[in-house]
Amino acid sequence: MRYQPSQLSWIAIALVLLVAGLILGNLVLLAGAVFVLVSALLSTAIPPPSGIAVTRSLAKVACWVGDTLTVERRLTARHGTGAIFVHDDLPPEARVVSGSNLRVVWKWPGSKAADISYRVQFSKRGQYALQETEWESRAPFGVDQGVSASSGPPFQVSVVPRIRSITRLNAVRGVARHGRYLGDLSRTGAATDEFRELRPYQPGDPFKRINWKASARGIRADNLPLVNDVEPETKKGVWIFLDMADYMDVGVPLSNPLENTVEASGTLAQYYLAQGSTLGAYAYNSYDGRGELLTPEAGKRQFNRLIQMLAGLKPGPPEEDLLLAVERCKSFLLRLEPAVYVITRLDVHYDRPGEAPGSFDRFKTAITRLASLGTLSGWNNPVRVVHVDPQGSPEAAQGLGLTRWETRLVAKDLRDAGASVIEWEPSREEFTSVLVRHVEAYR
Amino acid sequence: MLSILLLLAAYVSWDMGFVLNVRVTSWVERADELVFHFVPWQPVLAVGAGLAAYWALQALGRHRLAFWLMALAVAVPHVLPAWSHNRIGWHELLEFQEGLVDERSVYGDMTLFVVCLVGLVALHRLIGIKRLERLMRLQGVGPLERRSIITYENLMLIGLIVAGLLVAGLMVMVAAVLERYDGVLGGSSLAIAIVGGGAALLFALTLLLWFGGRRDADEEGSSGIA
Repeated sequence: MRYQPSQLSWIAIALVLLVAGLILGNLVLLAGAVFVLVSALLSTAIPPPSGIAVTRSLAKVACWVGDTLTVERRLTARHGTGAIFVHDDLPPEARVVSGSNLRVVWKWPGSKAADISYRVQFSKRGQYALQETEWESRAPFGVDQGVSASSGPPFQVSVVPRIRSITRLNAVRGVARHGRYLGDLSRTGAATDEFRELRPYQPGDPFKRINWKASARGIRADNLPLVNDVEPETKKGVWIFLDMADYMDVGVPLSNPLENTVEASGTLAQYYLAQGSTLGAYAYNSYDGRGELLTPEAGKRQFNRLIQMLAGLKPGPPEEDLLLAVERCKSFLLRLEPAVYVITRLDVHYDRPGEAPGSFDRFKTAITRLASLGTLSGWNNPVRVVHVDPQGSPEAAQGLGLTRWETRLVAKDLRDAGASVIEWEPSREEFTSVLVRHVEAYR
Repeated sequence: MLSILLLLAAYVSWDMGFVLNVRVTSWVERADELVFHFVPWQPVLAVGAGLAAYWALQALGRHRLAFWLMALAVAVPHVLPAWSHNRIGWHELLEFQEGLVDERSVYGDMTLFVVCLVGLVALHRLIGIKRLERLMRLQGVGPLERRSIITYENLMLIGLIVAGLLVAGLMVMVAAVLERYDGVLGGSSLAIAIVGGGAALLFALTLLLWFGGRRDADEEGSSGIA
C-alpha cells in the first residue's frame, strides 16, 4: 500500500498524544491517543482489493457502421476491501449505448466476481483499437494512493460501411429486359480461378473440374459427380469515383454525405459484382491528398477489397478535383471502358460570386471527358453523377433552399454535358430505392 | 461537522473561562448587553469566523492546510481542560507554574476531548469521501453506482468510529475494574499505566502494519507490478 501523507499525520498525532499523556500522567490525552490509534490502525490494516483480474471478450471484431457490439467484461478480485474502478478507453467514434465503459465495484472481504458488460456503437468506418482494460483499486477511507494496472487482451475492431440490401434492385425485371443495367453485365466469357460453388456435372464440363473428394463424400441420386463451378470472367466494367473532400463530412456522424457516399458505392459494388462485372474505384480528396485506388477486378473478393478500402477512407482538403482523378485513372478507364459513377455533392461545385471561379468548369470538363470515353468505346455507357443531398447540415439548414437551387443549376449543366444525374436525399429514402426509380425511368 | 466542532471548542473555552476566572473585554460585554442579550453570540462568532477562514482557504486551493488549521483551532481549546488532569506534577518539580485546577471531572473532559477527535477523524474522512464522489462524477460514473460506493464508504467510517470508541471505552472500563471507580475518575497511576500501555501496544501494531504495507508496495513496484 502506498499511503497518503495524511495517514502518517494521524499516526504522528497519536504519538504526540501518547507521549504527552505518559509524561504528564494524563488520562484524557491517553484516551484520545487510543481512539486515534484505533482509527489509524484499522484504516492501515484494511488492505485495498488485490488479486484482481479482468477478462474481456468481444462477440465479433468486425461490424457494420451503426451496429452495436457487446463488450463482455468479468471482474474477479480475491482479497481486500474497497472500491475497484474498471475503465475501457474508447476511441471518440465509439458511443456507449448501454452500460458503461467505466464501472466502480465495491468489494467486501472475500472473493468477488462481477459482470460489467457494456454495449458500444461505432458511428464511423475504420479500424479501431480497444486497448487493455485499466483497473484501479482503492482502500476504504482514502488512506492509500490506489493500485492500478491493466489486463484483458487488446482488440482491433474493424467497422465497415453499411451496405443496404439490393434485393429490391434485383427484383426489377425491366432492368434486364431493357438491358439498361444487365446489358452492361456479361456472365459469359473465359473462366477465372475464383471458386463459386459445387454443382452436379453437366455435359461439356471439363474433367479437370470434377471435385473427386466432394463427389465421393456425397453420393447423389443421379450418380453424377460434383464439379467446381468458378466465376466467369466479365467483359464489362464499372468505375466509381468517390468524393472524399471534407465538405462531405458535414452533419451527424452516422448519416452525413461522406458516410452516404461510402454506402452508395458499396451498394453499387454489391449490385454489379453480384452480376459478374469488373469493378474499379478511386476515392479522390482523401486525407493524405493522394487518393485511394482500387484496381479493377471481378468477383466476391473484389467486394471485400472495396469494403476494406472504404473502411479506411478519411476526408481531406479538396485539393484533388475530379479532373485530376480522371487523369490518374485514365489508363484503367481506357482499357476497361466502364460505366462510370461519380458520387459527390453538386452544390459545392457551384461557382458562387466572390469565390475563386473555375471549380465547376473543371468538374464539367472531367464529366465531358468521361462521357467522351464512353462514346469512343462504342458501349454508350453514360456517366452517372450521384448527388448526395447534405440533409441536416447547418449550411443546408441556413441556406433556406439555396443549396437545392445551386444543385439544380449544376445538375442542369451536367445533363447538358451528357451526364445522367441521380439526386439522392438519404434522410428520405435508401439508395436502393433511388436506383430502382432511376432504372424504372428508363423503361 | 466543522461547525459542531468549532461550537464544542467555543464551549470548552467558555467553560474554562469560568474556572480560570478570565474576564471578558469590556466591548464584548457591552455588545453582549446591547445586542445579543439572550443569545450566546461568542460561540456563534467563533464558529462563523472559523467557517469563514476554512472556506477562504478552501477557495484558495489549500485544502490540506485548511483542514489541519481547523483541526488545530478546534483542538487547542481542549488543551487547558486536559492539562488540568495531569497526575505527574512537572510544573511543581520545575517550579515554573502552579497546577491549573483539579476540581474538574476527568470523565467530562475526556468525553469532550474524544468527541472532538471523533469529529476531526470523521471530518477528514468525509472530505475524502466527498472528493471521491466528485472524482467519480467527473469521470462519468453512474449516479446509482456512485451512491452505493459512498454508502459503503460511510458505513466503513461509522464502523471505524464505533470501533475506536469501543476500544477506548473498553480500556477505561478495564482500568475501572482493576482500580476503584473513583480511581479512574481521578486518573490514578494504574489507570494511566493500563490505558498508556494499551495505547503503546496499538501504536507499535500500527507502525508494524504501516512499514509492512510500505514494504509490500515497494516490492510490488520493483517487480514491475503497478
